[in-house]
Amino acid sequence: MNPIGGSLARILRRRLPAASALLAVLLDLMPLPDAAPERLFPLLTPMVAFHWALRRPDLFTPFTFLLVGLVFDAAGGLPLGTSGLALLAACALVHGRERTLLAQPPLLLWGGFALFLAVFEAVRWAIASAWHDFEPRPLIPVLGEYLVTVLVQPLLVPLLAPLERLVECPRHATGSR
Amino acid sequence: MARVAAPTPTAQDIRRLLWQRRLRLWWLLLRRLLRRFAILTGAILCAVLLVAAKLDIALVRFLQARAGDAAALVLDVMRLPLEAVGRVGETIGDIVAVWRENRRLEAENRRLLEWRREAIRLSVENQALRRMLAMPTLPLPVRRTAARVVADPGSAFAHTRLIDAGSERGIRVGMAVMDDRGLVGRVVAVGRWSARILLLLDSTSRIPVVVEPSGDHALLEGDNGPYPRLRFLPLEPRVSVGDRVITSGAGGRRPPGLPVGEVVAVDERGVKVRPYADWTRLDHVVVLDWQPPPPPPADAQPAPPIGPATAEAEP
Repeated sequence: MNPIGGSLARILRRRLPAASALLAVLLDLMPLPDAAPERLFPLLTPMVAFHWALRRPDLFTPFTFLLVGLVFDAAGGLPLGTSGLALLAACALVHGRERTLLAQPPLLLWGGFALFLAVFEAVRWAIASAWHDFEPRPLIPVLGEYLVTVLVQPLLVPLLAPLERLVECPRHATGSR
Repeated sequence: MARVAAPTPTAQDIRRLLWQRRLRLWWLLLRRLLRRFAILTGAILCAVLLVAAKLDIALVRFLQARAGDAAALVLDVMRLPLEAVGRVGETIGDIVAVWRENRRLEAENRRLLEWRREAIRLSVENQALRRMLAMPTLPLPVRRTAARVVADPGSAFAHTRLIDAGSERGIRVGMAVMDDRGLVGRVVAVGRWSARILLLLDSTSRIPVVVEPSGDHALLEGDNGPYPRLRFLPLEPRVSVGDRVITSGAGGRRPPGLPVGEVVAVDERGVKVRPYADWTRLDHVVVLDWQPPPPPPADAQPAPPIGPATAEAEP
């Protein structure tokens, strides 16, 4: 491969985590056929963000969280900053603790994701309630979405594993060389 | 080789270099700060955006509208494969639905066919019973027992039918059996719930009859063919084609006057009678329970003699 092509491929590979998160945003926003409004679907964006935040924190920085959140809000018609703030709050949970978390057994890692998602949903719910003149929003749909997402998350991990191998320059979980 | 002396930097060059280094230093410092406080910085940015969105600032509104447009464009493209998958799913769903519908319709069709068969059967039965009700008026009061022909064990050697009425319903041996047109035969064996009828076509059947209008008595004898013959007619019979044949009532086993058939052939070999009974639709019959009138008192006038063909041969 010529140097230019190789460099481009390297750059693209390093953008894969962010790209996959943006794809997850689009998939989250995609209207599914025959889906009734009250149906619950898992949120892919937090799953992907959690995955990359642990495995490639050098490529999935808090700024990536912010970018993904802003895109989510902008594309989804939410008040700009809602999902960004929620993702950043969740990011604060795992930021700097990647090595510790990855050393845990899968069940505990799953529990870590449940906590990560709980923070994400809680912040979003709080902002939404504040946005509507501090009137609490219904909790049941939020809880339903939370449970479905937590239940589905283990299924997504094997799907993201091939992407991990594609990403260039595998580094230590902490991001250090 | 002569050495080339480096040009002496001017004061302007030195100032530009200093500014470049200063800017680079600030940029590095800013980057370091941003990295260290990335989450906080992002959170502050989000909060500012939220406040701006709440205040409905035009720029935020514009950005959000453009982002929505872009997302709509991308999602529209992304939806194509999903819709294709959805269409495949719908097609599969349609096929499954058609298959289920087909099974349901097949089951319904089977059920309806059963109902149709039952309806036809009931219709035939109804017609037969109606014909029974409209059967010729009997000259004497008799008790009628309607029965269904349940078996047709007929062959070239025996012409019998099995009916679903037996001794429980008062059927006895010798009773006359009719359909809606005329005499069919007589009961030759009775079970508790069934009885066997010997058709008047059977070669063992003998029925005392009278030919109308001549009044000649005879014995109708079956020959296993479609036209039983008249036997024991008077020496000079007055029988012609088209004459009506009815039962004579001789022997007291069957009521007189039951329609039997009509003469269809008169020649040197005998007289052939075509029975009125419709053998092709013999599904319901009526068994006639007839009691002969009591004998006259001893001081009464003797009855006039009956013709020669009064004997009835029972198999």
